[in-house]
Amino acid sequence: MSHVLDAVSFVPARLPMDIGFGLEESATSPVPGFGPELRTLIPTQGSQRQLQLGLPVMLRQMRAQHLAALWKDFCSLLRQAAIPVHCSLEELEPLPAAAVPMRFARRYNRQPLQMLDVATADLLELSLRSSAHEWGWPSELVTTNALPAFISSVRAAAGGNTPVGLELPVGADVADIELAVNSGVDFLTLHGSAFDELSVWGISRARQIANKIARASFPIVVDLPLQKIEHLPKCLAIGASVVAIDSLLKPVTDAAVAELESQTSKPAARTGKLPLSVDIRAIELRKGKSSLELLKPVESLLEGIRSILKSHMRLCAVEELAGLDKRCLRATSRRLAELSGLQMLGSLE
Amino acid sequence: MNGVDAGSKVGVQYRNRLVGNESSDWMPVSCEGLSPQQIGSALRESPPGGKIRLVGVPKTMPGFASGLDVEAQFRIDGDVGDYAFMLGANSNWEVAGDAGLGLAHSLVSSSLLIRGSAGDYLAACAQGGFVAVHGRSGNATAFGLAGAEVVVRSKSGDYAGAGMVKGILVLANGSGLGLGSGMTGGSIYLRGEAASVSPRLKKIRMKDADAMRLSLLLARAEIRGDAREFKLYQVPAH
Repeated sequence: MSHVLDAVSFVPARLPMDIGFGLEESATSPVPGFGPELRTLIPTQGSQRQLQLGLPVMLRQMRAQHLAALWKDFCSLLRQAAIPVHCSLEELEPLPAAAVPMRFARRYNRQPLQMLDVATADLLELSLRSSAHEWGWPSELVTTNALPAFISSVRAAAGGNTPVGLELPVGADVADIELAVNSGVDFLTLHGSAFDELSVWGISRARQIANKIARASFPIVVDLPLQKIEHLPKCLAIGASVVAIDSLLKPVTDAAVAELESQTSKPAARTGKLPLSVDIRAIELRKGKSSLELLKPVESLLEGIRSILKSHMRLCAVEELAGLDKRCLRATSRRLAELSGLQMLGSLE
Repeated sequence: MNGVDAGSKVGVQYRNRLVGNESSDWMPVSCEGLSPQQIGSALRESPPGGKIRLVGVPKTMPGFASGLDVEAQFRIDGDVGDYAFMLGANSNWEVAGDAGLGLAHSLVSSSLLIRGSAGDYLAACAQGGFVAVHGRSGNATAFGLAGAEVVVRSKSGDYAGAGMVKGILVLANGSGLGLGSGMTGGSIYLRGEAASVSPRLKKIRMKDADAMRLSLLLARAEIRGDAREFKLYQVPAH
């Protein structure tokens, strides 16, 4: 089944005038394995602190229970790559400090804020969804000055240097987006269950509004299902700053977990006499692949994301991710072009 | 006074205890000229077990004492702004003036006494602790209350107790429309009349234990009253 982003293509910039020199990868990088140009910064209003993501991606639905015995090494990978994950404190507590990734916490409408959650989060998102996933502004925040005061108070409660964002539906009204951006949030999240033409339009419009009111680098997180890693740079070019990659990662992690389970079931199937006191995870480590080996496809996926971002940046002759914008894209569908403000492929420059 | 910067304005104040008109137990500390971040840091540096009187708290500052978890007693001579004491834990506060919108939002375990009035969404989503307001409270008092105890001496606005999940709300002088709308748990004690009561609430016969609990809350809030003057409303368990 085709994805709406398949109707969008990158167009190459003019060829560089000088080839063969000055095109080496940066020798040093603050984040091992990833070039500085792929970093995404999320600043905090009123603070010097900027949260630095190693890639413009995050995980919003991955949980410890999905990964079972692979969770610790998976989190180590995320920490190394500086990719934040949405999970509870309890899921991270058993991990050694060296395996704890950046964590983002979310609060739904009508839920009390949790002190430990707020104080220890690296990123805090206030969702305009209730826990039953109904969208709406909480009545406590609809008066004129309430929202900026609330955002400011939550940030203060978190210690003053944690980015605080607001989650809206991807097709949110202009007035809602403007209210959100003007409220003093550090980032905006656009959420949807399907990536369709409305989503492209919604991201594009939110970017326009954010550029007008705040600044061109105002972070917009997009949480929409992607089908392949080629969709990621397109999403960035349309207006996202960070993209949720759960839909890309889940098949990979599911396969790793399935392989882990098949490894642990083999000894029991052979002997049929597994003592109840034996730890199944210990058997997996002795008999089959280690969890690091099982997670190699995850590393490959992240490396694939890095490669595809760099290749598109080279294609469009940009040195920073922010340089990937709508000017680099063309739509192959007239309707999509009209909705998103992209030029049609084939139109005269 | 661990952690107090030798050069900080507040650090100097903590060390030089000034004797004012009040008991020398209360240390006066001035917030004048301090930024919100400095005020937040200063509050976090409060000596545990200390008694501190704050003057010059900017009433336009949102989120005063947000996330503060210090075992100390504080007094404020004036007003506090919106969302003051959000997520507060373990502190005792007395505010001589008024409070803005969203006082004690998501309160964890602090104890607050507001001698003036409070704005809308007093103690919204408060999970624990105690809040008493001598003046009026605005609309949606105790909205989504999740375990705290809230007492309002003067009239409360519309939709008091809306969406309450747990905890106790005491309204000592009536309330507006929609008392207990969307409530799923907790108890509301009401003296006087409500303009309208949510049909999901039922008036419950007050038992001795309920009356005792109410009396203790009134005493703690420094409010005169007899438990027999109140009606108890709850959502019946199914």
